[in-house]
Amino acid sequence: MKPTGFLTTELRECMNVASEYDHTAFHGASINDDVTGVALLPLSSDGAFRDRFGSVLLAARNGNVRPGSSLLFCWTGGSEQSEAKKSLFTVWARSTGSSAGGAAKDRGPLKKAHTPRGRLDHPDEEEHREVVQRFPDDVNPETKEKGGPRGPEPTRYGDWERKGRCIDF
Amino acid sequence: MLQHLVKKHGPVRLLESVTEVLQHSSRHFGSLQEKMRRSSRNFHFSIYGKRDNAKVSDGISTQYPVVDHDFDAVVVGAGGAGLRAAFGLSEAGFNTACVTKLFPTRSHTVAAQGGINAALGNMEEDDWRWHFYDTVKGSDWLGDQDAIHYMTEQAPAAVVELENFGMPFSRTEDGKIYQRAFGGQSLKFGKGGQAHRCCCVADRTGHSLLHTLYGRSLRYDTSYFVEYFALDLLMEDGECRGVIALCMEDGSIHRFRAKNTVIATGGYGRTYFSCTSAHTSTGDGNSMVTRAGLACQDMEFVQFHPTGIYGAGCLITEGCRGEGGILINSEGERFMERYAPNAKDLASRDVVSRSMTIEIREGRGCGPEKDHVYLQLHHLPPQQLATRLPGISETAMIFAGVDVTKEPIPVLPTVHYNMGGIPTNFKGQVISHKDGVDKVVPGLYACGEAASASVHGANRLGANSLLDLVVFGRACALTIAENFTPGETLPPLKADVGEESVANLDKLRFANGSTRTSEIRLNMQKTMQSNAAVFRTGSILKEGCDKMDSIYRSMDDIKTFDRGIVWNTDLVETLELQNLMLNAVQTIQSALARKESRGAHAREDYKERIDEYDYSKPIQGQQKKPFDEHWRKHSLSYVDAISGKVTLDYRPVIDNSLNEEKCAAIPPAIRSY
Repeated sequence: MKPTGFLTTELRECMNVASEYDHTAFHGASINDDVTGVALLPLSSDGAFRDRFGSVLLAARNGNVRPGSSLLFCWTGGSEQSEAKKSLFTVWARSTGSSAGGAAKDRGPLKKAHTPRGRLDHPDEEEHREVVQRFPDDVNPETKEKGGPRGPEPTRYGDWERKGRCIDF
Repeated sequence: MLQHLVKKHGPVRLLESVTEVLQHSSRHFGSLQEKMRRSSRNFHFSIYGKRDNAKVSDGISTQYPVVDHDFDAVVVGAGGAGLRAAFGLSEAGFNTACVTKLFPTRSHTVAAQGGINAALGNMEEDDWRWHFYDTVKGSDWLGDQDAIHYMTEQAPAAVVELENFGMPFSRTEDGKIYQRAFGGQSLKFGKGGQAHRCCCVADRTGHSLLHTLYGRSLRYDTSYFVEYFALDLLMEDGECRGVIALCMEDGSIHRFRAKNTVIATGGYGRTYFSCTSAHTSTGDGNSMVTRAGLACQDMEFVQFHPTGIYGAGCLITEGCRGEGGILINSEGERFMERYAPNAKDLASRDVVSRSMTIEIREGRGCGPEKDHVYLQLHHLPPQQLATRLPGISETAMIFAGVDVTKEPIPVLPTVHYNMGGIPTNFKGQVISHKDGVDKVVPGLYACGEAASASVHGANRLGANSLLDLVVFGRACALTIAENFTPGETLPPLKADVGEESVANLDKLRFANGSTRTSEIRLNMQKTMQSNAAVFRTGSILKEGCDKMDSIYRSMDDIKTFDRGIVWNTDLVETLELQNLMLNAVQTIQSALARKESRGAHAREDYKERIDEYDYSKPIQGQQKKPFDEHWRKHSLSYVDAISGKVTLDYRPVIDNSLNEEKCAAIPPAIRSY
């Protein structure tokens, strides 16, 4: 389906914006309908965005769109097949960082997701950070107590002390 | 039921409340039972297998689903004592229910990180009679010597039993349980030096105890009713016939009928503003017993620690002051120099607590409300702090939000144990004192911190509390097993028993006054902290009693917000507040009445201990004071739940041990260390 004049303008605008920034450019459309379909379309070698049937949907008019870009196509009102009902809701052009190579190589190195650090990650660091260290083999060297409290003797001040807190029992 | 409610509330008010209830119900819930039929979710408990005797009844309420259960024994509370009693009973073959408002391993026992005392004799030669002597002396001769005899004699067996259950005590090189020296324990009746009796499990004895007992209890088929808030005892003809509880999860009421009820609900630290106890230590058992018309014993004896972190309630070790830390007031003055010119900050705990309280009362407290003092450590070299007190900077940062090397820590005297509670004999049976004679209340038992056996008397020694839990938990189970057999028919119970509890619950659920639960609770806590804390004189206590009376009356004007029935924490907190208020008024009134200083109860206007003889001089030639003129007696307090009026009575201390040949009783003497 040939893009309507409206679409072409928008796309061109979007691509203008995309060329200025290396990352995503977002251009909101004026249509307020609900999105009913989405497709991610890679830019083919002849510089056109094709749907899954191979028809050219949009041609990249602006030469600044780099190969390897892909377009996120959202449409409203109708399936992919019924082209007549297709209308572009929003265009989101994603372009890659580097210039050469195919889609995969042009992407930057994958950043490791920021998952919360678990207690078992980096166990060696934890041991060093611990204020009261474990005795080797859990045996207190002075009193030869096995399995006793860590650190200095808790009853040395007359109460039961641990990490500055007095435990009452 | 209507007649009863009319008597209680008056006809017009009843009409209002009934209309309100109906309006609310119809507006919000339709008919509850209808809703329950419609909903696909089952009750929290399932009626299958053993529990097929549970049946829905409408004897006391048509608004709330009420379920009746029959058991041989019910244990209320699942801390150290409750679990020990519950599985002791299951082991003996009784069909036992354990009703608890918290999951068993979340009870406050888990915070008791120290150790258990027992005269095992692993480090040096030891004898349980010397432990007996130490405990009697520690209690300032207010402890019942037969109960103390029982506890100290059973101690080695109890610790070995725990060890056999799998509790990983720390060991010596030979593989015996390692015992360390801890507070107040001596050899040869005080003449042989420090005794080593405290057995521990690394730094977490209480935690380990609780988990061991819970794990062991799963071997037996105790029915656990977790997150069921026990409301009241079901009493008939002066006998206890069960417990009524609210299931917090779905709002249903459950009546547990049983021939034997064991109360192990813990202490009531939350009556004070600053306490180490969990938010759930609200003295539920004590108040259930009070509402049943029975007395609580020795409520004025509350143990304080001088340096607890303001707001958090954790205690700072005395080692801070031992290493050079000082206490300062709002003027930056080291005020201990005025109160104890020689010892200064190293004075004994009660002197320090009293000095801090006086400073706060006289307006030299710190902070926006001027209600605490500062413990300063930043004048000490940080290296010294880190080596001598490792972990203190972490503690101060986590709990007080201060950097110990730059700012002082806000501290104030903090409650950490309640010696008072439900009076029992050495077997764990609850007793009532009528006409000068102790009588057992049939069907009711108590153990743990909720009970006052009384092994701790006026002052509890460290490491005896965990021992108390296991010994008396087991004692309750043994007493029940001795006197009853499983599967006995239950005594008859009226169909409408427990309706006052439901009426009260309903009243609180729809309460629409003007003060919130949290405001009333804070008022009570602040009043108790300023008037019934360490520093006690007649005028301050009287002022406190009057304030508590008005706060008690303000409970009529309470406002709750959550009108629901499923997991209504507003309602549960309000019920807990009712329980706390009953404990608080008993504490402060008993303290006002006791005109002497003994153990943890120290008064400025009566600094001496007043016994039947003056034990600082030889007894020969002295006139014995009559019972009402001396104070070596237990205080019993009764409360009228509606008006909040406290009536006091006294009962003599038991001075003979269980077996005079095996263990001679210790005659009173002056307590000095």
